[in-house]
Amino acid sequence: MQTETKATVDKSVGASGQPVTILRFIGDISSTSREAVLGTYERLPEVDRARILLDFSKVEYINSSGIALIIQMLLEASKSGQIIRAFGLTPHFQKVFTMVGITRYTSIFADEATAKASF
Amino acid sequence: MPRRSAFPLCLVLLLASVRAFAAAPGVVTEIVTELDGNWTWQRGDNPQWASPSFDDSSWPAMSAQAFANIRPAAQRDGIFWYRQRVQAPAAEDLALELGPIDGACEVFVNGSRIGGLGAFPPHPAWYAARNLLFPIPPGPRDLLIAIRVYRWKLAPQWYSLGIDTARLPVLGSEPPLRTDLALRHERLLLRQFPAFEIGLLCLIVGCVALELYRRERSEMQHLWLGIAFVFAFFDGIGGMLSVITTAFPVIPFLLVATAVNGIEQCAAILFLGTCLSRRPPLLVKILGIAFMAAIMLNGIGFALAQQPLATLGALTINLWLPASVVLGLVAATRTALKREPEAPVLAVGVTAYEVSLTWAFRLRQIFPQLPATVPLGPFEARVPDLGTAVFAVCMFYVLVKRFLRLREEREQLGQEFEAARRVQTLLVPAHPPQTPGFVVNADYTPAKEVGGDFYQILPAGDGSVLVVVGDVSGKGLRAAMLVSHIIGGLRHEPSRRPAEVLAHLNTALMGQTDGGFVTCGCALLDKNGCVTLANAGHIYPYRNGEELEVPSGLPLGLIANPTYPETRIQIVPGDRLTFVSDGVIEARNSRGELFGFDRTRQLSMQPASAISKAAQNFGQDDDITVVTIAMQPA
Repeated sequence: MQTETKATVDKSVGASGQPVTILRFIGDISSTSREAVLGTYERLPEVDRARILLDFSKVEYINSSGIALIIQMLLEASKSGQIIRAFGLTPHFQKVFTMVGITRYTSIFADEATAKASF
Repeated sequence: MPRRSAFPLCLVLLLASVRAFAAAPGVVTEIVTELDGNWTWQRGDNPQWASPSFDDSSWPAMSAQAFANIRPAAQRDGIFWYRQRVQAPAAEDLALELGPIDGACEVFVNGSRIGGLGAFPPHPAWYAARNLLFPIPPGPRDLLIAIRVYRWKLAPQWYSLGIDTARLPVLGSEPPLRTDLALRHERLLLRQFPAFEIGLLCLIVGCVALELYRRERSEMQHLWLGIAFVFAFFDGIGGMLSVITTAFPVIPFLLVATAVNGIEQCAAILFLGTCLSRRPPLLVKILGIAFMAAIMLNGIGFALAQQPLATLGALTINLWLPASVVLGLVAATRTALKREPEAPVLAVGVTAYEVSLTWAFRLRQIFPQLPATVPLGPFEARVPDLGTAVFAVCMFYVLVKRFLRLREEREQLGQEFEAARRVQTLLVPAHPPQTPGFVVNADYTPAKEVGGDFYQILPAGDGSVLVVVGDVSGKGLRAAMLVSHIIGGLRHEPSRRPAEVLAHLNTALMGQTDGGFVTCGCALLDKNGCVTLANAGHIYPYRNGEELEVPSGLPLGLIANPTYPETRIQIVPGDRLTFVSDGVIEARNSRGELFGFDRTRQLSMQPASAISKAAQNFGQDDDITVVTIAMQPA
């Protein structure tokens, strides 16, 4: 039932004029998404990791293993002083993210424009 | 269906073999006249050319041998006429037998059409070349035989099964000629009997492989092998059917045959790719598709009579063939080194197949003295067919042995899972313990044999009850092992304060979660109705059908020394708390829709089993745990 996760990397600029790297995820995020989530993050050049925006607008389902991957990425980013923000989550997963404490490490925005404006 | 078309044909061949070997074909004792005189021929088309009164003295002459193998006379496409005057033998039931003609034909005797095969332009159609017999109506013995032939542009390069290509046209009595022709026809088919039987073997092995793939969809090797063998059967049977019947005009047959052959070769290459890795590497996929495209290009080139296209296809086939043979030998070597018990047999099969292909398409070009066929009693088999037979037998052995071995392993694994499930039922009890003052109701339904959810109901002598509900990320045996670890920790937990319980569990789980985490909700219910709650990333509990948004800490096992804030609430007799795992919230139906928070909240006053059943019916995707605890009146 789960669909494969794909990830693409886009470059953009935040409201402050600073570069922002956007990781766009497509498909379901589960235990099989390690490469798409952590692999994509880890392959980013150091210079592109300072400000990261996670795009979940084309993600329909995230299970607990998928959330674990996102938390790992957020913890890693937090240790390195990187800023990660997210947008495009359904109300259901916004609530799940809040419950599991992800919102301590990232801010969740309704859409890409608002999220980019926060940088 | 392949089997339905194959077995009647097999029966026909078996019956024919009795007749074919009991008689000696090619020797007709009745009077016959070989039409070995000079024929005249002309390119073009004119109905008058059938007439005996037409003067063909200006037409070029052609020897009977050239006519018997008509190709040299007509290197171009178009309509050709051939004429010869002959004195018929004194025989009743006179008939004319013609050697094989690549194209549509019509035969006239003394200006009257006596038969033909195929259709002429503007909608031409013709069949695989075959000997044809035409009864001649009674009449004068001086005969003018005129044959009208439509020749296909690329016919000289399209070699069909070529029955008796050297046989001269003959005139004679129809019954013995017909019997003799039938016997020769059957002999031709019987020469291909080994190829047919090998085709049947391929069909059986292909069906077995596809059935195994149907049972286990992750085994792509079975899929590609099944497709390759089933299409090999159709590839082989197609040539025979084109001779037996006139149901397949050459052009559509050629298109279908090359498509079948292309798919067969592509699937075979992808199968070899699965010998290298579980999923064929990209280069192998490209090779398979390129090989298929080359074969189809060649076929389409012929079908459209486009010489450059056909040549390009042939050239690329010659380019890809060695690559596929090298791939096969590498795959065989890699396979032979694997620990799988069936690997050596698989390697032998692949090697035999590749060697036979190399023999047929490379070695015989270099050493023409090498035989193309191997005698098998009254039959003979082509070397590639023998290679395919060895390959098919080896693969049949591999598939059956692998199936039996995996079934045994699966049974053993099932027994081990059953043992693990029994252990887990001891750890996560089906029936909660006695809790005076509180009514506890629980339902635990793993998504697999064992689960990654857990709950514990721990009453104490002071009348309080500690409720712990949690979920290990992931499911199955790995998650279940972690559950055992957690429950072991809980049973030796000295504190009954929820925040401390979670903190201790977090310490015990650090470095144990393999990148995952454990969500956990914990509540201590005092007998006076005071409830202390702490949450480590777990789904919020419900009180009397309303969600309790308790402050949450991070799930367990992620960071050292997190803080878990405690929340205190007061409940009164009749109040009820409901704890669920995310298997309820995230149950998904076939449309991908989630069960969600709203449905769960609406059902949260139902018994635990009803909530669980509702989520299961919606579409269970994960372990499901529901615990309800209601305060009884004092």
